[in-house]
Amino acid sequence: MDVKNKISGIQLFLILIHSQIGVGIITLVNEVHVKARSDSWISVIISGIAIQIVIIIFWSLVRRFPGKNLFEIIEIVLGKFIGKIIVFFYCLFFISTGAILFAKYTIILKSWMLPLTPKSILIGALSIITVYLAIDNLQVISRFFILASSVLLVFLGFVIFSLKDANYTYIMPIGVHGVKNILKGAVVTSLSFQGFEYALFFAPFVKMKKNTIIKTMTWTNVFVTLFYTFVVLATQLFFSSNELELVPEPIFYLVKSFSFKVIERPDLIFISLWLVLVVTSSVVLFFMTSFATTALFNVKNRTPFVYITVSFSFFLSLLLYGEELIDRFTEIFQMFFLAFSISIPIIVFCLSLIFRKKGDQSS
Amino acid sequence: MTNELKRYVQMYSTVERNVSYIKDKFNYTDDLICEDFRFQKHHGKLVYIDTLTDEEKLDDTLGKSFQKREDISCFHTYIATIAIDKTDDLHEVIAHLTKGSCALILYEEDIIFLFDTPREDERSPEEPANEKTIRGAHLGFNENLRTNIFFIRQRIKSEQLRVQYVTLGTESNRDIAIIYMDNLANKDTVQQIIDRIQSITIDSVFAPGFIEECIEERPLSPFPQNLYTERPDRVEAYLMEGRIAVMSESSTDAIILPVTFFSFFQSPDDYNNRFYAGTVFRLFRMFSFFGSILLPPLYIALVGFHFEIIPFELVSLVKSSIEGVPFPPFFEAMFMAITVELIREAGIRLPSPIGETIGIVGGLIISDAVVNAGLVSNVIVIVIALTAIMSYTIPSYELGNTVRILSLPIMISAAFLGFAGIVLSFMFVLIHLCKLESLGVPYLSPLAPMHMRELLDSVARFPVWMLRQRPKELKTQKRQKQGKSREWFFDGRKKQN
Repeated sequence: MDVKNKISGIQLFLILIHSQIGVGIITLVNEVHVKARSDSWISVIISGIAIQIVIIIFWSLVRRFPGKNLFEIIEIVLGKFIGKIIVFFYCLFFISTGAILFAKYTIILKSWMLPLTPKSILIGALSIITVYLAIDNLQVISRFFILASSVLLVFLGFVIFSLKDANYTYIMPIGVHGVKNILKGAVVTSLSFQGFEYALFFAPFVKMKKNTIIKTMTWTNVFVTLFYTFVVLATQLFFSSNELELVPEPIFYLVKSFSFKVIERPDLIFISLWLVLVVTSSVVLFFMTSFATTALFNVKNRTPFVYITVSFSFFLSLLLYGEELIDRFTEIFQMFFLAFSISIPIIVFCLSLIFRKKGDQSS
Repeated sequence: MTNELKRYVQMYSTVERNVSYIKDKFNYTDDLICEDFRFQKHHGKLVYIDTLTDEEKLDDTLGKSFQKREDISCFHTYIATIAIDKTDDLHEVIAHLTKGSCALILYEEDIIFLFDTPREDERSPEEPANEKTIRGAHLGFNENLRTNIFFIRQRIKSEQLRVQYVTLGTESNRDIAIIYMDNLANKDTVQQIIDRIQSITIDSVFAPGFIEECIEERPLSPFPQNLYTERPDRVEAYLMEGRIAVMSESSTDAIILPVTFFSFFQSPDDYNNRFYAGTVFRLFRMFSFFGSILLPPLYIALVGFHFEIIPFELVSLVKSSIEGVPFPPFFEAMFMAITVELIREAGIRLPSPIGETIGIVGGLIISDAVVNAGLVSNVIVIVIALTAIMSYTIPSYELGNTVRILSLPIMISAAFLGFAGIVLSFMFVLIHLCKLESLGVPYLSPLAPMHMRELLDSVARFPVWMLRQRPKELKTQKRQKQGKSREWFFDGRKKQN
């Protein structure tokens, strides 16, 4: 990528937060709550701290190989053949991430807004917009994300508004469910942080000042952790533990309970705005996916791969039928997430230390 | 220039052959006049196109009254001083004749003299009808390029104001002027514009729209990427910002490049009002841009999909008006939107008394009759009327058209997917806006990419003394616009303390 299209730290920040905050935030509270009950918000914080440690390791990895992305680093450390195999699995991983994103988006949209619309049309509409933005360069993508960030503010506004009905006894006593459950909750939450590892791939595109990457990654992580914690905490203060078990999408129910003079059902508007976040995270995801496929096939032109990978995810998500199947798929997927997003980069880092491999420091 | 060199035609040795060559080249058109020239002992032929030359000028320089003069001692020196050019290239002679010059071919000379005698017929400048302002200058361009440039030079009395001419159209030879501030405008941008204009090979550039479509980045986008204006004061403001104006002969419009989305919401009136009024009205215009795109789709989505969002007190009201309507909301909206467009289109072309009648008949009678007949609901009439008014508040005619076209696809997607359809298709539009660039300047700047300080002047309209710098994305040679203009005020306050 030429110098003109390099992105700044702020643009990387936008891209990373929008890749992380997406479909997951709606079901996050419910999923954590199953494990950690009233201490869910502690799980989120712990998860954020754990991710921060991983980020520091990632940064040390990127620093050893300046100007290289993770795929190139893997090929340097593990050799061409094994490297290509791993990149291939990354592609599969990204495509299935996309399929899960599509499937979850459909389920929520179908149950809240458009119960009768065929699944394929909903996913198709999302795919078209994703392709339209994902084929363009990071500059354009980050421009759109500036506009999309206003949705995050509206999100926060709604959540802050809900604090007027907060009941502090719902999260008391703190820490009653034990460290084990809190940690279990943290593992579940970490799935919602998926997207932070993209920084490993974007690193060469960033206008490098000495510590841009680590600073941006840290700020992103702080922002996302606080955002999640705030959302989870506000929901927990609004619903009692027993209620939370019953509602799969607590934030929507929370917004639904409000009623303004002009708008009777603000949740419908809220869901519409949430679609923006779905689009942004799917755009980054497929930018990455197409990027991975170009690394796999050693080609320059990314555009055709955007079309191909999105259509793969499109068909895969059509196969994921019913909530149970998706839940099981997500559970398996969690393992993949831990493997691809966290373990492989760390292993590569350890190997590069052992074999004493280093990138060209001058570039 | 290279083109002309290639077509160099050496003049013949006799006057008659030269004249017959020119006549042949002009295909023996009847308004090509060739009369005898006689002055003292000099003889020759005077060739000109009757309809293009100013008779009085011609008479003064070479015609009957000149031929009677006796005070000229040295004919050759005199001729050489008043001629604008002399040449032995017949092709150049022809080129000059088409511009209204006259040519003098003398018997004893092996060179042809050319004289500047064009007829200049122009209407007096008026205030442009589609860019009226309440305060400030009321001057508009007319169809004469030189007069228009005069208006600009009159406003910017600076040696840095540079005009570059390019001749366009292989047959019609239209002069195009590229005007910019040499010490402000980005050199690469200027060069890019000149290159793009020179690459146009149409034989006749009869509207500035031709130039626009040939030089903009994405000709298939619904959004205008160049700004048209007929006002010298607006051109001045843009030139001083470091932008570039392209004007063409026989056209009242100046094309401004590069522009951003927010340029289309600015009006000179904003700067003649106090800044509260300027800001609020500008925000109103932007609101009405989004309003006119989104209102009809919102109606469709509300009635078709999300009735529950309407407050309880309103439900019975809306429901009762919709109850009897036999069509789905999408058709209602389409029907009314098309009706409004038809009324508008009919009203523009007709002479104004009839146009007004059409407006009244169409607007009042049709809508009333249609509601009474129960074909559409009351609400949709309100929605469409509001949409129409909103779309006319946008100062740029081009962007107003865009709005009316854009709302159609969003209406369709709202009919299919309700709110989700509106959000998804509107996002599509926003992504498109993010992708657009006008000569390297992002279309949505300074919003995306974000430049906080510039938002004060493009989205809002902050007091003039607070805007010290030119837009960053224009990459002008100088960014500073002014120093501290209200220093007296702060000085005064310091003294008091």
